[in-house]
Amino acid sequence: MPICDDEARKLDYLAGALGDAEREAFAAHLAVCPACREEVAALRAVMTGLGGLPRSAPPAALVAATKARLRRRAAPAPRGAWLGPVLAAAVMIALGFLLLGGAGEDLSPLAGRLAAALTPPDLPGEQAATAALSAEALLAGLAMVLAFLFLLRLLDDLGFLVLRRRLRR
Amino acid sequence: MANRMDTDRIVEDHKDLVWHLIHRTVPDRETHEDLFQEVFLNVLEGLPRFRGRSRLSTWIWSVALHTCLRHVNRGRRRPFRSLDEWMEDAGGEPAGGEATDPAAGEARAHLEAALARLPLKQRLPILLCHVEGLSQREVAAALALPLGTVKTNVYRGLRRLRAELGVKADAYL
Repeated sequence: MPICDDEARKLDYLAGALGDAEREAFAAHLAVCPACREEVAALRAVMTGLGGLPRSAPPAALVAATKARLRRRAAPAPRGAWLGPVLAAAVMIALGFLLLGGAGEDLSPLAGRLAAALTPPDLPGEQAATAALSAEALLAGLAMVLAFLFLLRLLDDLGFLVLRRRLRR
Repeated sequence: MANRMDTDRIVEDHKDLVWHLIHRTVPDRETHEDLFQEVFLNVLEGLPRFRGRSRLSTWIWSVALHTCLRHVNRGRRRPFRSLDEWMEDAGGEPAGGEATDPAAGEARAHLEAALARLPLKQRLPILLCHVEGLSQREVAAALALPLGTVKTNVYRGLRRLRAELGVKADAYL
């Protein structure tokens, strides 16, 4: 390829990336080729101009906020942090089973007492039983939802979810 | 996982590099601060996978570039574009928009505007090589392009700048 058409070589010459022999050969070409000489000089001027472009800095408050955010993210979870959610989830699941215990037969004792406390005393027997069943289902559902939320929290703590990262943003 | 000192240093050492990239590739200025934080969160997340095959700054620049690309794609209703397609885009108005010191000269303002009009495939390697000071090999690694392609894009971009500006040899000296 003629030297005049060798873009990579001109660029390497400008970037100082040519070896000694190649650089000398290219300089010798420039000495006899006014077109290349003029082009290389103009490109060098553009490069000099680019190097002198103003460089704005990010706002200091933004940098500080970013550092703080990364520190929070990088901080390891406290030792044993998983224990609380695990125990809470276990309690909730146990409560759910307790309330559901005997479903299809009689009310579990706890749900029965709660339902009795929540339902008016003068309801006929059939309606009272329906109300008690509804109360039992409601409490069991609530316990299950809470258990599920604790489980999510636990998975997030252990790094299986990106939930907290999204929430932090 | 990086400790507190590491994360502070990562931000401190690369804040300008990331900020400049965002300013020169994403026109929507209101998103720049969010993107800045997003880049460093992505850096922290990807750090365990960084194998040290390139300089850390080159890798961070690459993470920043892809974060910007995802942002550009998020804001689009048209189909997803790859990095290659994005880089084929024609340039736009200067995204940086910093007030230029009048004393710095009209020539620099013209250069800034001409740079912003370059297609990304020429603008990005030029920014990295000649504004941020990375080597051509590092730019090739950051953009995942062959070295020869980077050289061609840089050279053609410089020539285009020269043609747009009518640069004489002593214009910026």
